[in-house]
Amino acid sequence: MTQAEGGEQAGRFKGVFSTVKATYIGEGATRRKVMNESYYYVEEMGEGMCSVQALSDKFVPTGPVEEVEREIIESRYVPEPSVYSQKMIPAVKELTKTLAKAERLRKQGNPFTAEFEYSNALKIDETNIRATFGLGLSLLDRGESEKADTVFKQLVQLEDTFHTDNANLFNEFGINLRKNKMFDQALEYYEQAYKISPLDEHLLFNMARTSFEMEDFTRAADYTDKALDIRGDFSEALELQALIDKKLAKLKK
Amino acid sequence: MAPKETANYFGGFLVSQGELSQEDLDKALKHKEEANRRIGAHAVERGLLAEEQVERIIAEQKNRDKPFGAIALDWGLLTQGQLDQLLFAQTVYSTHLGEVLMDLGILSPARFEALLTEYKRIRDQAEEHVAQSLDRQEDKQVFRAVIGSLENAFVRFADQGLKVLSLAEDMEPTLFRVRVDVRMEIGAAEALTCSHFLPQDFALALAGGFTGKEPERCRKECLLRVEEFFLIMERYLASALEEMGHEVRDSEVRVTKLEPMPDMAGKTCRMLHAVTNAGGFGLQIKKTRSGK
Repeated sequence: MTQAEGGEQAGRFKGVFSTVKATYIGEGATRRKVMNESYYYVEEMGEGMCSVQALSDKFVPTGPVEEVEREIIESRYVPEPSVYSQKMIPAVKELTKTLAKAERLRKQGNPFTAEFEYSNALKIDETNIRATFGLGLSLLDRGESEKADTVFKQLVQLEDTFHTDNANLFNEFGINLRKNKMFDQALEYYEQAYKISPLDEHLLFNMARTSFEMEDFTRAADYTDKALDIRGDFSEALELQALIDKKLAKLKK
Repeated sequence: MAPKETANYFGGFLVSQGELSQEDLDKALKHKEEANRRIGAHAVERGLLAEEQVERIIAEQKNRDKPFGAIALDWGLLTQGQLDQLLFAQTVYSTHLGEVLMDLGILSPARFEALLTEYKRIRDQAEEHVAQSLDRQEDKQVFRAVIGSLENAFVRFADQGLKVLSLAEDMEPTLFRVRVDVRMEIGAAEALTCSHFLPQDFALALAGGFTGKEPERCRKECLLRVEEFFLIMERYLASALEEMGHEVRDSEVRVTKLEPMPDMAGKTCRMLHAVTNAGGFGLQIKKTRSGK
């Protein structure tokens, strides 16, 4: 195998490879084997391992990244340099450009045109996390809660939603769900993240604040206590706790 | 003062502002219709449903008045996760009129946002005006339900977001051609009658689905189309009244062709002038003791 099929960095290869996989369709007498050619973006990581990510039908790397031994790549995959240079690179450039345009439009306060561009980005890569967040935020900006709900459901399905790399988008989306009074969704959203980061006091505080706005003061108190268990001097949580105590005392009267 | 009568939907607004011609609008709407695929088409494309299953669901929809996804779930053809994916795809792949206009190079993004903002401002103003008109009515909740049902029926019947822009008490003398009574028995001893007095042009436009292809005269087919519209409105109204806690026991729609055409403005009964983007009509709402 050559060192670089599509590109080379510090002696490591990266590029597009293809492999043929057999799938079966139909049932009973009509069951038949179909050979499918799939493309993958492969990057050598070192120590005999490579990262492998499937290419979408628009030739953009999408979905989970798997680690595969270099030996397996060499024996079972076929290098596709022309797919890399003529299809994947232009598609990734197009996606990057579209996303940048969408983000610029949203910053300029043009949520409608930003929404179109985020949708265009998602047409290139349906699981693109930045585009999904962006589309959801644009819809929330203009109070389209029904459509935003479909995006919310997609976001909680995508693993990368709760990745720390997306912390800013994650927070902004949660805040906007709350501002749009989509409290149930906001709470579910934070709860999904909490499963991954149970020691994040900010998440617990956000859950407390959402519960408070839902007027579920008991639950709000529970989340605030948990946030304060993690960081006792968390000033916003202390303020919220005082407010919750007042509400609960009033209810008891 | 009543707000300026604007076109009933964004496309019409753009035409009325001289931003695009009716021909361009028709072209853009056709593009939009072709680009927007139904959820069933997304399901077939993703191999989740066979075309035959989609057709069966659509046929069932006509009987059950339930969304496509709900039937597919009931029949176990889709999981909730798959349905969520399809709804997301529909959100991503749906095309707005504005997007088509920008794609066709008819509007620049900046111009589009500016016009949309202006359109929304006028619409908000109209809504505010209707809210003020409703506040002056004795039974404003019922009025609100009637207005909401008319607007929902407009969307369902003509696939257009027509709005009631104002409800005025000072109605100009008008010659009505069609009267439609929607009568509902509510609760144990009350009846609600909403009488709609339609001038000829409004009745014709309604019969044509506000497409500009209205029939030439108020013939029998025209009256049947008007009745079809009010049967839809009746269902929305019954459901709105039930949400308000009223039990709707019975309801009927009666369409009468008025000949000779009486001038009923403010003479024999208190009537409001409901102004929509597609023209105005007389509206009278009465609550009486039940018993036909």
